[in-house]
Amino acid sequence: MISGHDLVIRYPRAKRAAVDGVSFDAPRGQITAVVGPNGSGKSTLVRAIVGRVSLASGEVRVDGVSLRSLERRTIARSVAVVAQSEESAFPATVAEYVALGRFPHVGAWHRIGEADRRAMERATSLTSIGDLLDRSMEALSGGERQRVRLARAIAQGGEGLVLDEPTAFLDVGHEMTVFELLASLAAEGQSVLLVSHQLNLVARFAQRIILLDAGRVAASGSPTDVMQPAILERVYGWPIVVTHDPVSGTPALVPLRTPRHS
Amino acid sequence: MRRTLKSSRALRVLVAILLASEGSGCKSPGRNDADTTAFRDDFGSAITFDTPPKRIVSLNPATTEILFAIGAGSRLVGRTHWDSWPDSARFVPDIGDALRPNIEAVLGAHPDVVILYASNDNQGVADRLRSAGIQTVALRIDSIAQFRRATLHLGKIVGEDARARSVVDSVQLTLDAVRAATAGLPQTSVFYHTWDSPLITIGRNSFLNELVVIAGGRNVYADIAQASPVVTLEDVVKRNPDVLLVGPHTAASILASAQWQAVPAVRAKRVFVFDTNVVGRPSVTLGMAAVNIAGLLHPGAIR
Amino acid sequence: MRGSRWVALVALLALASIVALALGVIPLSPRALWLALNGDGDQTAATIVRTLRLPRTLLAMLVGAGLGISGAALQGALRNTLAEPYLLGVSGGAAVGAVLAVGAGVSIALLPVASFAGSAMAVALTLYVAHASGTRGDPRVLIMGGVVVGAFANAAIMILLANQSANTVRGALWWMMGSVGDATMGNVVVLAGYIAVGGAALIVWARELDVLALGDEAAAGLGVEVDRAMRRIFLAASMLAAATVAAAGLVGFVGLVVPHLARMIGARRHRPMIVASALVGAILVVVADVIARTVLPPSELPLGAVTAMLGVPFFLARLRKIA
Repeated sequence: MISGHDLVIRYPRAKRAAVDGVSFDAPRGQITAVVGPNGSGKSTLVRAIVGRVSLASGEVRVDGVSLRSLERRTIARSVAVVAQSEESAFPATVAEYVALGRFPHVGAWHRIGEADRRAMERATSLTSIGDLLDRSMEALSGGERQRVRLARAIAQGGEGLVLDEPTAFLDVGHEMTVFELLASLAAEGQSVLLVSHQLNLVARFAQRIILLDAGRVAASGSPTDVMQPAILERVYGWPIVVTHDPVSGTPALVPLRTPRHS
Repeated sequence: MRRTLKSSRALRVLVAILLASEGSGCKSPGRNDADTTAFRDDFGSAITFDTPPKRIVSLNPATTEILFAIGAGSRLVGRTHWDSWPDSARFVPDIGDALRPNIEAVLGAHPDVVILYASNDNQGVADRLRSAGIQTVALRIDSIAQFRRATLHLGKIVGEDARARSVVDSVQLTLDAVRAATAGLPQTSVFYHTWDSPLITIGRNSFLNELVVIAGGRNVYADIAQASPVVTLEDVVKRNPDVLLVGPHTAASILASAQWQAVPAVRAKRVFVFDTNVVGRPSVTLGMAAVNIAGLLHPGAIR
Repeated sequence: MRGSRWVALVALLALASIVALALGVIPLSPRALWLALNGDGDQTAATIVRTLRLPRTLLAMLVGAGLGISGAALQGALRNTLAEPYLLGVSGGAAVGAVLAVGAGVSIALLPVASFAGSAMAVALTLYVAHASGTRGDPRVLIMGGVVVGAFANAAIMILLANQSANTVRGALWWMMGSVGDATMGNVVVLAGYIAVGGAALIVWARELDVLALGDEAAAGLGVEVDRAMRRIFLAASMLAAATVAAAGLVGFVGLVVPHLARMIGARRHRPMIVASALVGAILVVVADVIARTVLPPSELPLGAVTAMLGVPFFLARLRKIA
């Protein structure tokens, strides 16, 4: 549903391209994960989807239509993005915050209608934030805030969901909650495109993984295909052993303690 | 006999002290200030001249005009940008500003003496000029009495005592004549318009206030000491002057302004333009200024 | 925000206006004021009220409203509660325009035009400086651009004033300190026009401000064309501020403090906050003008001096919050 074709993205005055000929595909009904070391271009991809960075060449498409030919509002109705961090200069209540998710549909003037209310209710129940609605955003814990952000994205009502490091700073319980929620959304037919550091969780939950290295695709495919020790060691520069997790049945990474090269 | 001698000497000492003090004293006109060979200027420095200076820089429109009037105009080698009177002052080189003047430019004119305006800003300038070896005379000319004093001092400095005295006497004569002519007439209350935004007028310490009184008028803001106070239109309305005295460029806009109509004198079109050639500076034209103002306040009284 | 608060704001504005019309060098009783407004009774009082106090009070209201709206919009767009309407070069440019005009001796009627032109050029220059630096819409770059242009304007003003006559300098300084004393119904109408257009635009874009407050990426993800939206919001807010400066000189701190007050009384989303800021701003400047007029008779304090006093308790309160 969300796909990238030979993307080349260069930041001004940078020596090498941040993204150098990357293609990916995030179909409906699956979790597609983009992983890679710091600086490999993961967040840049998210920025390209949101339009905050210009493409030197290549295209991002939603359902086959190039983003270049679509208006931001139209894109936002199909694809919701949860960015890595958010500044919020002004305190809002959780309910107001989730309601902002309907902006692509409601625009400047329209009142919140039935369809909007239903979308917001669905988002609220999926993320279990019903009892947080009247609280101020500033008073929430990290885990609560992340669920609320997810709720806003779900309230946007699109079939595509892009998340950049959604579980950074979350404890294991909250992390699992988020990933379970993403899995159930994917099962319902959403296309979930996820950028994450959490290789083990990604191995358990994602159906496809794209491994980036210095702006290029080092490997892509199922977790088993990508989680190969040789590839991972080359990309991350650290000795890694890949075992088979007996509980989940998926590959599990164990980084070794002593580096082979200093 | 001895007692009378002593007391007359004490009297002379007292007079000398009065002469040396700053500011406008209550001096009667015609006193021979040239009796003293030295005097103190308005910064308190002792001024003596062995020979009259040949090259004079005058950094004050009033003193420039006075110097021309007492026949020393040809000796001027520098004036400020703002010195426009008399007309021949144009030919004197323009050295810059009166307040914080450009010392290099002043020195470049190689003056024997520099006449400065005695404001606080210029204290440092006077010191620097003196340390450069230039004789500096700082004079404050804010009132009619100070004008008299300054003219006589300048006359002494350039060696034209007689002409200085005749300038002072002539101005005084005119002022006295105007005062006499308007003496019996009912006082006209006056609002003198100096500047528009902010609205500036004249207070008690302004020489213009003295002129208004001599011309048979009463400044509605005489209760404020400051020479150029800022006031509000509403307050002018409240004080209800009989007459407005304004500059030539302002009369039309005041008469046309909806807000100024709040002042009864404006509604009655009693807005008169003073002659800026003579009114506005405490200099040799003071007498003519009084005549001009009296002519506006009491038409027909001055012949 | 609750309905009762809106009613209270409007009532407070009405009360402040009545007090402003009644107080002054010649204080009027309510009955005398009523007569004066209708043109009856003492003619001097009537002229004072109708040609002096009424235009100034109306202008004060509009200046306060304009600055309040502008400040609220800028704080939202720049995501910075210390942003204020003069930030993007508006005040520096206006002052340069005005000083040039005063120095050239043009009639007072042309001062507003000169000051507005100065503001417009300064804002354009700020946007250009920010754009030329290459970063996309980063608010901090925009603020730096405003600082650069402001510094340049300050230098220009000092150079321009250095060689002017005393009265010109005084006139220029007086203008820069802000005053509604030269108000006429003419400039009330002109300012009202600007505020109606600019204010309406910002109220329409208020929801976008809510979204922009989340950050560039989040806003883009929600469908806002961030760069374009920021640019038009800056332009509208700056032009509003420029119009108030053209009408009344530099009236500082209003645009900074009013949005905080509006938030304090409960306006959170930008649409109610912008409207509340307009009302609070109007009340504040009307009261400030009354104080300016009545505190030191027969002289008048510059309006900007009174509003500058606002800065003191405001920053003290913020210090306490941080500490």
